[in-house]
Amino acid sequence: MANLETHLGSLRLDNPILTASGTCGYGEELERFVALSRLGAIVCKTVTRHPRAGNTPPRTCETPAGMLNAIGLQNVGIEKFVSEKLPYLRRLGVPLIVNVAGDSVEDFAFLTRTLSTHVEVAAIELNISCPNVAHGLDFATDPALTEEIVAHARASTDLPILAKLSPNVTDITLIARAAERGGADALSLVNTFVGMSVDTRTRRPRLSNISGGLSGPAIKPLALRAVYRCAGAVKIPLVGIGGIMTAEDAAEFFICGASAVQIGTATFAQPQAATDVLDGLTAYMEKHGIADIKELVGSLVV
Amino acid sequence: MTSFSISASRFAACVVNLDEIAPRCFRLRLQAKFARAPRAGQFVHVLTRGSEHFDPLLRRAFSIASLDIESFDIVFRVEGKGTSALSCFLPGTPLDVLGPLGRPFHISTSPIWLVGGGVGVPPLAMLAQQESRARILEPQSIKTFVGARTSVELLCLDDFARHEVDIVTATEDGSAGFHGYVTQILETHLREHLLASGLMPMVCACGPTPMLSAVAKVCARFDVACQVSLEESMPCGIGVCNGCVVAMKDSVDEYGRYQRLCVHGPVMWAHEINW
Repeated sequence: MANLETHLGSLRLDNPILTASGTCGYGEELERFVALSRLGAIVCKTVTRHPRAGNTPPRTCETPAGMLNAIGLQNVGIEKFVSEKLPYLRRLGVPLIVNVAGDSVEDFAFLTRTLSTHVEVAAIELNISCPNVAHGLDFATDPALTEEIVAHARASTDLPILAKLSPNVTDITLIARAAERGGADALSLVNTFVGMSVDTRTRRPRLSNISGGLSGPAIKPLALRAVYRCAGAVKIPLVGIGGIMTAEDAAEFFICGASAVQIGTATFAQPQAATDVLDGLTAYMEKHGIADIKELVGSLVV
Repeated sequence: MTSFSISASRFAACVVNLDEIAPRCFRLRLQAKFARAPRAGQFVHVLTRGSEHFDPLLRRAFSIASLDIESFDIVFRVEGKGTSALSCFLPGTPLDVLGPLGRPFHISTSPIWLVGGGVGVPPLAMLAQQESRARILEPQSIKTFVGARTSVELLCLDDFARHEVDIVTATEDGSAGFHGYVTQILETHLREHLLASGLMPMVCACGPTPMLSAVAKVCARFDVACQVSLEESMPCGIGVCNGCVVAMKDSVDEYGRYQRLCVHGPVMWAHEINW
């Protein structure tokens, strides 16, 4: 049996297959269809300091081999998350990475500090890259702000910190280095690409937010290159995200330098997509005589 | 709150039969392998592609039009890539189905009036099937109003006839039944019914959103309880993505005014929706 154990800083995971934030809710709905405890970790839906109602519908539309979303970080807020969602998440028996987003440096520090007091939280992912809220991309496109947010979060917790970066920048390696300087233990690459879709009959945008984040197989080659470039720019581990539907897709990310991957949009089409990728990865490694996932990570032949 | 998706399962359902029943409208019969029998108003989420390619990427939601022990029917109009693919499947082809999902129509002992427009009629056919069996001694307590643009687009009339419920039709071009909107003929019948001091019915409606909004208004005017089955694109169908939300008048729970149609619907009380 291949060894799938992987490390994101001090966070040790049994295997490198994770769910992506916003695609597994708080575990409750998905648990009915998939054994979440088999995964390396789950990354739950973004939590903010205050509850958020989210954007006006329509919030999603399908595009060729992909989809656009502009949910707007609809969530219950940190207080209810801790009192009502954490107890269920703890029972799932899988390491929990909580994704947080804020409107300010102080918000990120506050959320990080608050979550640090809960033993069921294994790590924190900083969502500094949501394209669908007012300041979402301000942070992600500014290396100095990125470093500041990560540094403040770093100072607020001993938990491992993942910084989730946006691909909507001219040079993602500059932001990656800034997050590394700020003290991130790992980088999640990438959040969605900003896109649009228009109904040509009505000439209206298909999303009420006009633009939204593109995800799904359509973005996989773009995400893969972002991971490849950052692998050459930073020393901290990378978590690959972007259109992974199959174990082969995941393997591409490992080969380009990711130490773990997150399965997102695939889960919408197939609730058990993440465990299917896990099973497929095991089969792939056995077939190719790879004893340890570490042999695969960053093994691109050029 | 009861969650109906708890009884959902995923299965491979072979195509039994595919019929074009109206221009661009198809009736697809699939093998039924549900873990628990669906109730009228619930939907199935169908993958309209194979697992080897990724377009169209997401599942498509379809209400169930009829249910038998070994099979169930969905009725759809070809509108895009998903329904286009679905209209080409040959008998024997396995489809990846998730269901039953969502909340069904709430049923009480009052008479029920079914109001359907266009391709919104199918879930009402299943409701007629379910309730005509349950109300075998008083089939007259179910009445159906079916509307469409033209007579050839009136769907599921055979189903309603088979279930022996009263049928009133309306077409926009006057090619069959009442000449006008189904909401107009509903209003006429409600007024007559009220004058005759009949037991007030509960209205169950499905169709395009402007029609449902009109039905809701008519029902509110007559103080008649009204449930509507809404349609939104549903990326996941199981409550995970928060994509298919509907704006409600009031905050219902932690999710506030925006409720996920796939778990809190597709059937909702009309008076709770912020039309």
